[in-house]
Amino acid sequence: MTLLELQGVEKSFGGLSVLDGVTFSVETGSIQGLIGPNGAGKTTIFNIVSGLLRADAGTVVFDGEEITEMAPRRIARRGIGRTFQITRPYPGMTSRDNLLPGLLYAGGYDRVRDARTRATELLELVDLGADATEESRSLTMSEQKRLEIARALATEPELLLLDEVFAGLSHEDINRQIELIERIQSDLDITIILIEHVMEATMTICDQVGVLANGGIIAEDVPAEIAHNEQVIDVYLGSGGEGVGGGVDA
Amino acid sequence: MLTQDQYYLSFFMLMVMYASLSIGWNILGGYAGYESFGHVAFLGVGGYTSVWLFVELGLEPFLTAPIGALVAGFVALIVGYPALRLKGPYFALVTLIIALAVQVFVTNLPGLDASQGIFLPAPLESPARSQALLYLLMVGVLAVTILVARYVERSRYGVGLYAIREDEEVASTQGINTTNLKLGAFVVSAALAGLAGGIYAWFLGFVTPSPMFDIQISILVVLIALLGGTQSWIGPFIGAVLLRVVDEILVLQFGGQAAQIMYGLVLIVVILYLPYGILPKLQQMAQNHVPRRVRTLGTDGESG
Repeated sequence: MTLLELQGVEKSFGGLSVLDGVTFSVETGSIQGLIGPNGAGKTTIFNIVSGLLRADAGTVVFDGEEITEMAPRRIARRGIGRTFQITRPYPGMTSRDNLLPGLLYAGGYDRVRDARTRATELLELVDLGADATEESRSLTMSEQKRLEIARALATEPELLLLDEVFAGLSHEDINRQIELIERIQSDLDITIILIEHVMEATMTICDQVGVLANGGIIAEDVPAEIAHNEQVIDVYLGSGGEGVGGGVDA
Repeated sequence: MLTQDQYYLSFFMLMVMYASLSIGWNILGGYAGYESFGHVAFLGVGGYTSVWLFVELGLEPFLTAPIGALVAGFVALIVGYPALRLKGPYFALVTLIIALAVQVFVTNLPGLDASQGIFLPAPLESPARSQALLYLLMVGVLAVTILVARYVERSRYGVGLYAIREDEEVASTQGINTTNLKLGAFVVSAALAGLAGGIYAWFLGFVTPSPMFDIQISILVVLIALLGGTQSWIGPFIGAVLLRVVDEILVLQFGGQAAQIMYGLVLIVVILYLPYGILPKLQQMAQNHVPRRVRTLGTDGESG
């Protein structure tokens, strides 16, 4: 079954066309990778799906309902959660308090006390149980990335958009993160779209990988095939541009 | 004797009023991070609602102040919708301008003759008792304000406001209707100021636009909150007490002009060295003391 479907999505910023007819779909229960060179528009796609940006043309359909024009808060309540490429925890709040807004406004919790109990559980799920009362700005990069995942889970999503959750992490942390994402996908039964620069992680974890370049999806296949796709090697893997750090996408 | 009583009464009256105004301001300014520099507009609207209701209908302060709160809240609803689309310094500037515009509008309302000044009679026979009664009513306003602020702090609503302060865009991707929440906080905070204004007008007795819409009140309300700390209602409460005391001592010691300069210097020092206000600093000091005691107790237990 298709959970998310983008049809001919276009977006330009001023005179710069970033997305020029993006079409792809994500199956329920899968982990879908989205790769592409810096500036290809991967984060723009996430911004459109989560409602922070409006597409100039095309449609986004989630779980049978068109969400192209929907406000971000409605999309969140409808079941799409996301993280941010450059982590944006609520800086002045503790790790646990970071999860409260999502739980109370999209996760179906009405009372702060109940939400706090659930927040503690979610922090344990992402191995941040010990940092519950730590101010989020004092967490390490790896911890902040996990906190963002927990915060997205707080909205009880069916679809989780993860924007470069491996970038900037050590090899050890990447393995831990892979294990965490697989656990989320299987235990909580959540569909995941993953924007990634770290090829190793993407190839390990994804069921299907789409390649975004020159404003459209140029290839979509299982990881093993993508790695050998000539077109992909040409625009992306062969360019030598991909790095662990990743850049800021348009 | 009487004059000394009056001196203390008006000293405490202003302290309580500033505490209420600042705690109310903090619901939007502190919790949601939208710092308004036009809070006095709602004090003035509440005050002039009192005046109008007395002049036209002969109503008493118990009735005029709550209606003043409703009117102030309504004004906030109308001006808040466009103003809250702006952030940071732009929001501050627009609210400052709104306060000036509201003053001009109220002053020139036909039939009210506000610019001339309007007398409100003492609500009780004895003027001294009237002042005492109005003081108690203002204490009531403070109590209501604290209850509202405390409720917001502990509720789902407060969590939403904190999220807006921390990162409004992220908050919007977590199901929060940021527009409505901000507007709600603005209306509540304005209504509380209107309530205070309703009482303050009676306390003044002779109501003119300059004290009722004094721009300095707007600024002091912000400074009090920043001085005390904006995380909870206790911050502005401490700030109001401190600022009023320091202000009074400086005026008594050095006279008006010199006091203003000293006052400015005190504020600069506080803002430089206590950027999060006095309250967090006090809490930090308390925390630094507690573990020492705990440690001593702990070592006894462990060594045994």
